[in-house]
Amino acid sequence: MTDSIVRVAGLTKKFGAFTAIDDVSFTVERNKIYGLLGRNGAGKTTLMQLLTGQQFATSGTLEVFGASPVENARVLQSLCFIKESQKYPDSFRPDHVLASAPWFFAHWDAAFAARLVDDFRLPLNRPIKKLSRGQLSAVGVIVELASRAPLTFFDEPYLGLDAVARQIFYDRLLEDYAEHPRTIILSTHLIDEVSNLLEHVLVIDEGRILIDQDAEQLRGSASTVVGKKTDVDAFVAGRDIISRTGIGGLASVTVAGLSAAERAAARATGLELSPVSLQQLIVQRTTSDTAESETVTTTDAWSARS
Amino acid sequence: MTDLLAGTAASVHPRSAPARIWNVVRLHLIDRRTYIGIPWLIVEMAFVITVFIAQIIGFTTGGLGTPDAIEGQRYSWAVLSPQWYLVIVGVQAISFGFPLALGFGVTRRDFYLGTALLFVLISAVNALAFAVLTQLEQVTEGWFIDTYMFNALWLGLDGFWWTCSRSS
Repeated sequence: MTDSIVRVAGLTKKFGAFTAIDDVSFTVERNKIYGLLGRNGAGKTTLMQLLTGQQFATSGTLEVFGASPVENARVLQSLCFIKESQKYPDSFRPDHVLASAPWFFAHWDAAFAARLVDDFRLPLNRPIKKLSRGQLSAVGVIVELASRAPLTFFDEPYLGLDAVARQIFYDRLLEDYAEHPRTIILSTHLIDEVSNLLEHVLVIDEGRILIDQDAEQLRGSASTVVGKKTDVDAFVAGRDIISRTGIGGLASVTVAGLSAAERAAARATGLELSPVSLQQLIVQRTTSDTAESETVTTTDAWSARS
Repeated sequence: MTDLLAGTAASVHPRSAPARIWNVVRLHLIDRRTYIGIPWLIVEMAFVITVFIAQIIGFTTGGLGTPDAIEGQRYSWAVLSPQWYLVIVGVQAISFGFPLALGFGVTRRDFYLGTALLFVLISAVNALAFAVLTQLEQVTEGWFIDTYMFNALWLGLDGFWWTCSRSS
């Protein structure tokens, strides 16, 4: 079951002097949902463009379904990647896109596409250039879901989508994934909303893969210890501290990897343990020193919304 | 491992190269207005304008049926009007159609060949249509109102039916 459909080794992409992807290596296994997470400009879209043959690698090797995707019709037929900033011909309406998509995707399900159009309330006869940002995202999401491509990329699929539409997207994705398993690479920075969907997490930051881990393991890889400052300090002394906050005599410290025995010990001393959300973990890992205070505020805003 | 990989990709029924290239042509033509509707709308508008101008000239000079008037109208080149629109659309086929084709998993090669084929087909169909319209224009002696648009210099021919009927 561990056959990998994507193998990347030492992949580098430079735009002039700027290195967008820096010596990246990873594999993607069949029929899993991957989260490609990272901050704006981290290299998520560039990496997906490389995987879909839309950009040419500067160096390194890249195999998708056993071959380089560049100009490889056999490989490209099995992929679907509608960019977040996808352009459409000037006069196109959503019905043109949905009518032509089946010619390019062998597994296209027109009934499913029609159902998604209803779900997202997409006006089929309105020119695409007059659609709102959310409706534009919906066009891409519908194509990507209904394409049932063996390797489907979602690039910030919920940009501009309202809460109802986002929920519909998650529900339909999971339903359809259960019936028609395929490999999905979901790129986003709304990590908490998708964290339950993801089976594997790839975190990219400044062109490098920072985390390449099973989502379940990653969630268990850190815990937050809350309690009286003195107790907490005593407990976390010598451990790998990821972040620390405190108010008055209380402290909350996120530490990496606690064993069951250590958890029991912590509870015995009156400390509270809580799991760390994927988003907090990733924010903490990808926060560079200069942006620390900023990121913390953003986390709060995100938490409040979800 | 390699067998497994090859096996999966094959399950996606690879399409033949001609089918892929034809799909690019179909993608361009899915909105018929762009390559067929608007060019012919332009031809219609050019024709209406040509009729108006010809009638004005007819009133002021006192007759359009003279050989001089027929010869003069061959310089209007109103028939070329859809070409300039198609040049712009050709540029847009790259700037807007290409990104969508890439998203649909089309290779650059297939997109180039499909787009080239599209324009060859449009040229052929339009040439045929204009040739027929030129003949009709000759046969009807300028659409019965001595107005000649399609029989333009360079593009137009005197029309072999017309020539035959006159010389016999």
